[in-house]
Amino acid sequence: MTAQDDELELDPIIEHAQDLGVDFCDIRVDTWQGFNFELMQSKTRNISSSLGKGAGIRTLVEGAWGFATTTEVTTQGLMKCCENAANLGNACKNFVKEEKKFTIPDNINFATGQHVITEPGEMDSVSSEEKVKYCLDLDKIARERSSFVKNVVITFSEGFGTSRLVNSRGASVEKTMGTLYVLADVLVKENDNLQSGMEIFSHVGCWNSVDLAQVETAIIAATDQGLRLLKARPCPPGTFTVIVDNKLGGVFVHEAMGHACEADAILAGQSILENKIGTCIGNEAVTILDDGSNPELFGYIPADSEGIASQKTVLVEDGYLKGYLHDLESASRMAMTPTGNGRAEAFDYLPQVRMTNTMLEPRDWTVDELIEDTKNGLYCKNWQYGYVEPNKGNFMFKCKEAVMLENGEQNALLKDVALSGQILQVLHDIDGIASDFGNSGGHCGKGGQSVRVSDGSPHFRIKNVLVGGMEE
Amino acid sequence: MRKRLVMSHEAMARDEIDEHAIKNKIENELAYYQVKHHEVFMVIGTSLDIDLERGSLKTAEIIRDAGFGVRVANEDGQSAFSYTSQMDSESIEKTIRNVVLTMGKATNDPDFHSFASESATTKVSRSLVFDPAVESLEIDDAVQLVTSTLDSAKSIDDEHVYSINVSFKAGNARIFVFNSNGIENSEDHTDVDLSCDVTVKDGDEMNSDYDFKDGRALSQLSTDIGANATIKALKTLGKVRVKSGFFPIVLSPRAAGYVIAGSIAHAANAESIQQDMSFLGGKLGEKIAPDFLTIIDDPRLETFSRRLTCSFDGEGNPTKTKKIVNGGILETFLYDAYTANKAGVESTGNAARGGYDSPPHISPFNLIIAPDESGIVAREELFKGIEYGIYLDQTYDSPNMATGDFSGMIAAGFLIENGAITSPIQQATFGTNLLELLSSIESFDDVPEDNAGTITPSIRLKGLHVSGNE
Repeated sequence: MTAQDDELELDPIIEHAQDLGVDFCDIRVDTWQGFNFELMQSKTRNISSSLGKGAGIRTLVEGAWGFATTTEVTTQGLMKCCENAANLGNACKNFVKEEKKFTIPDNINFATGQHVITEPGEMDSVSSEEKVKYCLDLDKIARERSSFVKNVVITFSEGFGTSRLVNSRGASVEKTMGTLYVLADVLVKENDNLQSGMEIFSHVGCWNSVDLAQVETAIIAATDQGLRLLKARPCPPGTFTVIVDNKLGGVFVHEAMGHACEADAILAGQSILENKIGTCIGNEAVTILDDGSNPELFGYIPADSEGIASQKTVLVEDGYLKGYLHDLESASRMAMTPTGNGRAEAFDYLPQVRMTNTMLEPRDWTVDELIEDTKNGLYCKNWQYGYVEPNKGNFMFKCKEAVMLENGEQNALLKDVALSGQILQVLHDIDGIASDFGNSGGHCGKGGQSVRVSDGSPHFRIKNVLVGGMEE
Repeated sequence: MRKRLVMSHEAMARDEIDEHAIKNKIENELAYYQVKHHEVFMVIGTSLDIDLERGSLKTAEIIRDAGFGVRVANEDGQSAFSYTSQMDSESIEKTIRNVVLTMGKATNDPDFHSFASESATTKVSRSLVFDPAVESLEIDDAVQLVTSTLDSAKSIDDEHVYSINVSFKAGNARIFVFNSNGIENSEDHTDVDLSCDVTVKDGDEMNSDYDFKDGRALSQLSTDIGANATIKALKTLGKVRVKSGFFPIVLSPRAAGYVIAGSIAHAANAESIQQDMSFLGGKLGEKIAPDFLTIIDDPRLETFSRRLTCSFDGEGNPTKTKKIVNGGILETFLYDAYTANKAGVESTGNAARGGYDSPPHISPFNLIIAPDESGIVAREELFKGIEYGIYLDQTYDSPNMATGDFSGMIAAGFLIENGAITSPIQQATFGTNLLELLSSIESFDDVPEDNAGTITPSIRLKGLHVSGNE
């Protein structure tokens, strides 16, 4: 049994679309349940439990996409939604330029199959009371660590659902999975000095399959980070040699390279990496991949939202740009193979080219060697947020804390360090990659949609990083 | 044959949504479970999106969305939220049962007193927030609007223009809030948004800028944003390196809105204050900025885009115009019903909703930086005497709300040399503390601009620490 046990016949809807003259059509049907709450000052806020379903139908008519959605998931509701999508496609086809018209090539391999990653019933196998109680215990762990802890904000978000996709070219994929995301923000205060430490725990599956020791490690790490930051001073501005840790390194790979490799930006004339395939864009030690097929990682998808199986895609190999991330449209228009990166947040969004699990491959330095070898610089750890403008070629990410490296020694602790760089330069400036590896999960926003991703990286070193900060 | 875009309430949403029948059904269910407090936020809406990529139509979407979110609470302050996008009887029963069960899992909260309870004041005029032309918009007209914008962008003939992308979005929605205190409010809204993104290229140098118009009525849009976007984008070519140091700064309206108005409003969120998570905590009634700075949250604004103008907030309380900062003094925090009850004050009507599928959160509406005349100078005076400075046109960074420390990247900026804007700048970063930044405000120009409901003039600062790579 799947979550969509009242399964509808979708083939007649596809046939209906074809009768209406569309070149291609796909239907996505989602059913989901969610359990969310926030804990603030040891009290639940906005505890919520929800159930829902909906469907989105997309039609392609001579290169124009028509898209319509409905929450009336019945044969009648879908037929009407299908007509809306087909009408939109048909109405728009006259506005597609001749050279922009495209069809989905015949040789594309669409996936079929059922993937049950999380069993129905797993989410409810642990009671909601128990989940709330556990987070109250986490709150206590943080508070017992120091009297400076003033507030523990925990955001708990658990979901389970089934997504079905069928299309007019034989794709038929059903995915049933749960996801869990816990964000802990620990506020600490000493006199007037207010700081916070933050950690995220993410997991494919529901609470029943979580290794609780890892969640406790996260809350302790968040607390200790906040406490350390009480002693930190602002970062001086300037240009530095920077060593980044696994977490910050992952965000770096995602922001500095991943987004610019998304082929929808290339097609829109909005990426600095257009026409750069085969050219050297970085140090020969740099190899960057995206891999949606690893079920251990938070960005895992068995197949994307267009019915293409997830896969490992090499973006940069030994410093050379090897490829882009594709959805069906970009692959069709650029005569490339789709890479399984067409992802939509939910049924009511059109798929876009998105990353899954993006990573920089480890090399042979040890972390200690990197630090010892850096006479003057910054050792930057953990991230707050990051962003990129692929059409300007610059990016920024902010790290939570940094250590000043002076004459090979780890000295002052710094806070709120903003690092910025240029996509076409920064990979050349990487001059040492360690052999360790760490991966962390989160959500990435683009075009108003948020999807699960993870970023992974070893420690590595970058020269000439522009750092924003305050003069002491 | 012209395809009519079916965007009227009557024609959309399964043809048979009767919000009053649904209200009765929901209230009957809540009564069955003897729920002490409840609040329901319902939306019935349709939106149309059209995207033009490099001069060719790419996607057209019609999203129909209807559903309600319900909050319940009992005498111990245990409260819960749930939502559904299915309006049939069975789904309503399931949703109410679900939210009542979930309420039992919440912790007690003595700070919860009640949902919104203020009776409605005068509503804003319907014509300010609703445009019937949006409902009867036809798809050909929408496509015409985006192609005319494209033509406008192309009218600036320059070999460096590399790609032009245009998008248009229009939506209508009926918002309906009712609760156990007898609050019952509904309002019809329309929203429109036309934007144009232009990327320019010169050899390996690539850059871009955009322009947009948004508001409540189709007549507020202008296809001239196309040409403006191209002109703005072309100005970003030929970037030069910047020195590092402490330099005079002029914030553009879009940067000032984000850096000053948005950050202060965010830090004035009463929940952050009560949770001890804001650097404005304990500063009510204190001077946090120069005398000539006033920041207003005006949900009843009748001019500019009216992007966020509305009669009641996401809990059903009437919206109110208030000065967050008045003459440099922090005058109020922004409250919803819960935080107002907790603080023992009246709600400022600042509960906002992202949709029916999420509980309310505190947020400002239309934000206005309204300087006192003593701080205003003519546009050309604003740059006077700056030998070397930065025109900070855009950043996407925000301060650390706990401390006000603020470091970030200048995503778009220009040099100011000898009192005038000159070359666009390459990569540069800045660092400050927001309270320091406020105290360094020197003057404002007299040309306020509206960026998505935030209305600010350009603002001159004594300076910021800038880190460049020259």
